Amino acid sequence: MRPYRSLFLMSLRRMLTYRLNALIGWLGGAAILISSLAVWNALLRNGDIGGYDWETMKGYLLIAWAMSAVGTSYGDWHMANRIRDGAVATDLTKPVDYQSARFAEQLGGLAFELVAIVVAALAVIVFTGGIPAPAGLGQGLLFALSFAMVVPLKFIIWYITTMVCFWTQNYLGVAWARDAVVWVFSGGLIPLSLMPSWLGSLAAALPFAGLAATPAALYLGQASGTEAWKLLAVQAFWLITLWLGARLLWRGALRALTVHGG
Amino acid sequence: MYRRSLGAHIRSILEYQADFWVLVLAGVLFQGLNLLFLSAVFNHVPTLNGWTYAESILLMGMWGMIGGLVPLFFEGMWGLAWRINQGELDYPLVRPLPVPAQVFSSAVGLHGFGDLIGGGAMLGWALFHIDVEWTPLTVLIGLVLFASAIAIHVSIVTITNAASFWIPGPHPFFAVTVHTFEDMIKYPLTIYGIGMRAVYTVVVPFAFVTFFPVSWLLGRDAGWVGLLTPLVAVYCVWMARLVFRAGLRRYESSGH
Repeated sequence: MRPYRSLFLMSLRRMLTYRLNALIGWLGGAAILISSLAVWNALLRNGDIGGYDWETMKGYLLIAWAMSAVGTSYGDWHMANRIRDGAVATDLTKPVDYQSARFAEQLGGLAFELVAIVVAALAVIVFTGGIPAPAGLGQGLLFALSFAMVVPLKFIIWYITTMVCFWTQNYLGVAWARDAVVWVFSGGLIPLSLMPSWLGSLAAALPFAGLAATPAALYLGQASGTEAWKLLAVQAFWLITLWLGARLLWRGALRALTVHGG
Repeated sequence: MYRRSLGAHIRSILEYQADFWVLVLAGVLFQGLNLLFLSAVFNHVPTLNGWTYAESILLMGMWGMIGGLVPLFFEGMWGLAWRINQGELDYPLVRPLPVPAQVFSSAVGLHGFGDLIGGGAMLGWALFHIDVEWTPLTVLIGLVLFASAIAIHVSIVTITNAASFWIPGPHPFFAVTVHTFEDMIKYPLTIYGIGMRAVYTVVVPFAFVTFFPVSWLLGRDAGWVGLLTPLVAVYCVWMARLVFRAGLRRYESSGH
């Protein structure tokens, strides 16, 4: 465990060094949160839409946004650059599991992201007059369970897309395409139940729903009892499948690795 | 000269075809995302703050199209911070072409193609579905306003990136943050609070990039403000020139 712990601490320290970098990222996130709150505020002024009133929607938007803030402040770009310039070759010589090592680094940023989420939640409470509490203690615990899975699930989706760099030179396009897909299918753009029904059911079956729609549904009490456990099972299924799938992909990727010189 | 510089960059990027297509795809996806959001929402409501579906698409399409055109021709400005930091601005200074032109043409944002396709499609569709009486004059004014809107956007990109002359560091953090906030103009400005509306109109005139010109075309209340767009553009370009020059005077290169 020791090497992973020091990777975790190193990434934590790097976040502290590049505070400005992280701060800018969060400011950008704030702009997205403000505009989605403003749009829905305008839309819901004339009554509910698909079972969402302003209070519920506020809770939904904040949770979806918070989930999107998790795991973003550090990791994928660093890994992508090391793959692109070939420095990944030195990582391969280290006696640690590559995937777990990257996950440890990802966790280093989590503490800061949680602070950002709390700040955002307070701002929403102050400026819009409160957010709904979890729909009961049970739902709150289910939400916590789901949130605990969001962190590794998000990591593994980012990790897999970063590996695309073994085949392309440019990471920007890959990152953007992934962000767009995740934003739609996680329910970050719009709650899945308000999407056209074919798209909504497709999204519910994909791994991305576990990144926002599932924790939000549990928090707001839209899914309870058996339904809630079913959502958690789907989330866990994807987490395990992707975690193991990433290892297979990694083996294939190493064969595509080209390192210059040497 | 400008064209040849841009052409050289396009050729170098096209070397990696997979990357090019991924970038284009990402651009189209992002525009599709905006479209999907509006379509899903308008399935449930008739108007967004008094704006119909076609009108909202027009606003979003215009922003998408500007977001596609500008990276194709002016992307280099985003690399300014890096060049200042590395002392690489020495080369443009000794070449016989205005420095801003050299900086602008030092990169091509090919992701612009994707945004251009997506944004252009939305804009084109919306133009046929809005309730506007087209006369040659409307078309002419419309084109002038569109060009002015682009000039305003490019000026703001220039000013915020030129801030790197004063803010040390290889990344244009300030410009990126401002740009993210600019993205909020894809929705009608009236959905935001009074304070934000004031800031977006007077302090940083983002509202003139989409909202006011489109309001003029649609003949909305206060649509006449849209006719001020060219004036605002002149002011912004002048400011951008001033700031960039002041920045250049401050430039100290590196080492030696």
